[in-house]
Amino acid sequence: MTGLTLPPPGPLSDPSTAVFECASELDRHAAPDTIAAIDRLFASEPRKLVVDLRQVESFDSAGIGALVQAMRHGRERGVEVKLRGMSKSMVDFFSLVRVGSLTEPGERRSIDLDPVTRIGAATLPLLEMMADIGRMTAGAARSIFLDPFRGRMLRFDRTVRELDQAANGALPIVLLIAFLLGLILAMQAWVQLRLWGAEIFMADMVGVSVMTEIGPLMTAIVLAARSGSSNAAQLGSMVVGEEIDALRQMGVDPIRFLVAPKVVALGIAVVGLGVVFDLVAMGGGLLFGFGVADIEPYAYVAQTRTALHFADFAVALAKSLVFGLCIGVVGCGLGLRVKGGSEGVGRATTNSVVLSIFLIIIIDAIFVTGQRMLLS
Amino acid sequence: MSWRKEALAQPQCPGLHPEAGFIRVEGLGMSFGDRIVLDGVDLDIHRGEVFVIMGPSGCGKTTMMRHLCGLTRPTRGSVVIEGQDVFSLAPSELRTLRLRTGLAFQGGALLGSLSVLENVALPLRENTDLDGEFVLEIARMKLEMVGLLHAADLLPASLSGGMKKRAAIARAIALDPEILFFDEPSAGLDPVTAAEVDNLICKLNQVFGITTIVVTHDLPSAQCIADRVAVFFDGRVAAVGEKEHVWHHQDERIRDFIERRMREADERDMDIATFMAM
Repeated sequence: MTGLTLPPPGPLSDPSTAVFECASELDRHAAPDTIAAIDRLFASEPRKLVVDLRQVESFDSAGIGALVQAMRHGRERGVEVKLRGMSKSMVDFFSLVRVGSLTEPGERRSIDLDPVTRIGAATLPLLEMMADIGRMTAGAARSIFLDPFRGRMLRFDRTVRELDQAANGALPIVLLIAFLLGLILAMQAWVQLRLWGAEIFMADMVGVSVMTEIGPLMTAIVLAARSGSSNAAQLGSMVVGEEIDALRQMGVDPIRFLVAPKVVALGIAVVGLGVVFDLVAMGGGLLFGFGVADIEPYAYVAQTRTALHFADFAVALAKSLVFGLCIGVVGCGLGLRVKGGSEGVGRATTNSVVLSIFLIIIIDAIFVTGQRMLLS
Repeated sequence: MSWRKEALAQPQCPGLHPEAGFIRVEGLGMSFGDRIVLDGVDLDIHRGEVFVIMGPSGCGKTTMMRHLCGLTRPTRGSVVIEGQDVFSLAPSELRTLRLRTGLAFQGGALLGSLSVLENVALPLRENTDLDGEFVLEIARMKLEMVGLLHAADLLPASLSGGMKKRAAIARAIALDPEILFFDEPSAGLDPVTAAEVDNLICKLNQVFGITTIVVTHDLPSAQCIADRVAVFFDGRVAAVGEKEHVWHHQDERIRDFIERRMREADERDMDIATFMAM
């Protein structure tokens, strides 16, 4: 309750003063009309506006909001707005808000930035993100490749757990996609090749396309969507919950403790699941060849073996490994950079999938270009 | 067990002859974008004392503590612990310094995937070469010290707020730190549990001589545990000194804060009065 004494309502004699008399109900139904009516009074450019509230019997937040808005409009137009005849309950309501703050922008202590600094401030977050991910990659590489020689082995238990979550968890969906894609590729190839009686070459098409491109790419995309995003969300939540700060404070390097096992697990998972994808997709092609195109399984397998070369297989494995490491680094990097609570976690999760898939395609293009240049 | 030898080598005379200048903060400034959070803060924290940083919500207390721990870099100024500027240290030196400190976060910040016992054992596992079973033994001892041994095998998600705070304290003292930070240790706790946590903070300070820095806006708690107090307003130190000195400070804002006076309500009454027609 407020200790404010209400002023007695008195007569109004100043001719440059406009008066608006509120009706008995000043609530959310009456608020729009009240605002509009007061705005109409402002149009006559009075020096002062008095809002007479003596008739008001009931009011709500919207009604008081209408008065506050009228006061702000008045201040913008240079009209002094005064309230008259407020009931005790209305004064009590106003004691909960600071009308002065609502009707004019609050004073803030702020740093004035010059244009160059503003450009820097806009560019800096992008550069900081790249620098953070670069630093984290270097830290993870140090933990994976150098620390074992210094007697600090990678956390085996955590790596196995991460591998289990990434590989075992994704296995069913990878198997299903691989089998269906093998069937689809074989079907598409068969439709074209049978025109020339060359159905047997669908084994070449399925084998080569799956092993060199589709297998590594699809596996990497599935894991980017599944594990990369999960890593970003998990680490982001840990940032929000101050768990990462707690690790740092305890002298535990979050990169070595959390990131390195995840990155290694994803590298192994994409390679392993990529090989499984290849085999299952070729199995799907074989099933289609046997069931629909009347190709003997033995002939299909023999034709596939003649089409595939060890060099292609080795490149596919190397590519899968880089895809996996990339997914791990991007997911963890964006997760550790989370700012702004749950919204930031959501943003990092989405961005990790988009950025991972983008980088996977770029890396694939580099691999293919490099391989072709070496062969030619 | 070099960490243990180092810990024992430190003076262990709780609060008797506090050494000034143990932690020195000089001209510390911090801003997020164009919002100034800390504005030229100077502090001198003595060894072995319980130093309480108080102030209303949003005044920069927690940000101040994150700077003291080296978790956030300032825009300007320095934090010097025993002659070492925290923000000029190499990462390995900063890590060594951090091993001499413990931090109990406001929400506990326990790792959700590890049991309470594993959480407490983690700093020992990662920073000492002690045997795994012995590490668990020490962790159990720390949990017993905070009265939480019965919850050793639980996951953090199944703990109450007070239990989380006590588990966080057990983890923070796992490496026998010289400096212990508490972020709002009694926030969100019922009065009895809050008193228990206060009692624990005092006991740790008295028994181990740990320099204790507590960020809080809980006045009864501050009055109970503090040796010296700093009151923050708008990112600046409004008053600092012995508890009694600050409690009887003449600055009106500090009086309002300590006496829990609702200045704003009075101001709002005055505010609406200016809009009334006479």
